[in-house]
Amino acid sequence: MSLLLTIVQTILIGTGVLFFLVGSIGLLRFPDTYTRIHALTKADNLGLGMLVVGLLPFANSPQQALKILLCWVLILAASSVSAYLVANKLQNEEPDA
Amino acid sequence: MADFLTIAAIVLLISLLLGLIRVWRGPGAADRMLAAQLFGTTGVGIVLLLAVITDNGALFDIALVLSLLAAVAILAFVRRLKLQQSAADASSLSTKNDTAANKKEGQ
Amino acid sequence: MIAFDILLGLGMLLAAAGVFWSADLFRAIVMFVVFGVLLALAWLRLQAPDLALAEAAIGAGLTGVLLLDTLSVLRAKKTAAGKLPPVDQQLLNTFTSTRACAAQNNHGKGHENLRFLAVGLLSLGILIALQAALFMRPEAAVNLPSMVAEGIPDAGIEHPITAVLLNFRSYDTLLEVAVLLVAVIIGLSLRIPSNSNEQQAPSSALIGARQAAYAGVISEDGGNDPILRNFTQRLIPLVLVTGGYILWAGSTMPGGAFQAGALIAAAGVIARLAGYNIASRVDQLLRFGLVLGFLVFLTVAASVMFGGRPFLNYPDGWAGSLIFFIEAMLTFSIGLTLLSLFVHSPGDGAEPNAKSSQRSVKSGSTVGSDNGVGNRPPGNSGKAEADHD
Repeated sequence: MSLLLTIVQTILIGTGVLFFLVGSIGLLRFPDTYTRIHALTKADNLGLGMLVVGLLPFANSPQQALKILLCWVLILAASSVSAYLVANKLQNEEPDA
Repeated sequence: MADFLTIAAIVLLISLLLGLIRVWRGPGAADRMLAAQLFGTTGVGIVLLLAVITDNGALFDIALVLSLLAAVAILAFVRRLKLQQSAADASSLSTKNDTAANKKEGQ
Repeated sequence: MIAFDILLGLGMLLAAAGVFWSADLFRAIVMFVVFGVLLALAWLRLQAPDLALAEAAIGAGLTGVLLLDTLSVLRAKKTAAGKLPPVDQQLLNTFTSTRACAAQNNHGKGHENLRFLAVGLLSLGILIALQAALFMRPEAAVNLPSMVAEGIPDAGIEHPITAVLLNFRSYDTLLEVAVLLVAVIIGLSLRIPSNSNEQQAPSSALIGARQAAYAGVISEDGGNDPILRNFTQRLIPLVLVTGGYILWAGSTMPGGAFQAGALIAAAGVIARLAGYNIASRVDQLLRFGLVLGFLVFLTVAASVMFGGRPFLNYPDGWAGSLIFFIEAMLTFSIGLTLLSLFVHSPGDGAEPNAKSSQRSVKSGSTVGSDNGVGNRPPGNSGKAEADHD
């Protein structure tokens, strides 16, 4: 059972880290700001999300587990709001957009 | 498992440092700010990993504080700076990158 | 883990180089914010979670915002630069285009190279000397960590850092708080001359330009943006609660007054950025709040002398509660100190005047009179205020 758990954790953390990497590469490779916002939110949502779920079994207490989950929820809110704000700002202020 | 987590932390750090390139190259102010946002998120991920690796519960608080304040810099950017002015600023400075930035922003 | 450390060190060097190498001030600021994240990680790796926590709170919540604010003011001034007196003009040039100035001042390329060489050699010498000092350091005469460990049972508090800061070396902390107080008083008094200066020599064009610039800086619909408002309305209480938690946690684990104060200030900064007009409240609280922490600390420190104890020597059994009481008051004062640096910085739109009584009326109409530097359109700020109450 614990072996199974370890395998699942490894897969989750590995995929999460992969999403971070993909997000960074997207940030570098995508041609304009809007597509870069898209790349970024993958890292926030999926990358950190999978990492958090993978790390949850390591928590020593339920409070700690909640703390870890809260980190993810906060980052989700922050990233979605800032993605919206930046896109909105670009839309309003770019002359030809 | 600890080794695996360490490798995961190193990969996260690498992806973070890749973001530095975007901060440097820009071209627009928004691109730089987005890269900084990625730094915040990845930083939270690394701190969480370090907390588990070193088995130190106090580090979760640091991750919590980082994620609480993740949006502050971008809020300041959105509310206090104008995009066009960055173009004006850049033209007076006349570095190669920034003139390229102007072209791109103008498109 | 060594690979992680090396990579982290290299990354910090790169980010630091980016800050100094960048001619574009905005890029330099973003690099600095990024450097802050890396610095927090470095403190973690150096097993100093208290510092990492402080860096996370101050670096992410305050310094970046203050720098961005300063930049917006510099740019607004620059748009109106033609109208500025020559001294200001010069200052602006130094701040906004260092490289351009350097290019003007520098007559020959060879001269420049020679200077680089000299600075490089000097840095290399210092680096070697530092390394030598690190490797050839003498044995410490006193083993401080073991002394702290021995003293902990009597300290009234479990976390060694807090015990050192508020019990063993509380004298240092008391003076530090005093220095902070003096610094913020000077900071606040500096704003008045600059205000009156502008009032004495107002060039209408300059004011018009600044007004236009500020009106643009604060985006027009910001106060009404539902997503922004809902987000901040939920975020601010969370930040405040976390501040309280960090203060409480300080007695057993990393945390304490400074970190908690930084979080409280960050909550205020978020509120200001989202367009809530909390400035009037800050003004009223400010004078009292700024001194409160120092006053309580000093009172406790001195009042133990009535019991025949030395200055700052807590009575037996009372240390824990007294330390927590002092810390709670310090948190409040530190939070207000940091926040007032932000609220009273010129970039924060709502210019504080010497006659702030005008604004402390909770009418919500911040705009207007002072210097013509309106915070935001009256309708919005009034609405935000109303919503907030």
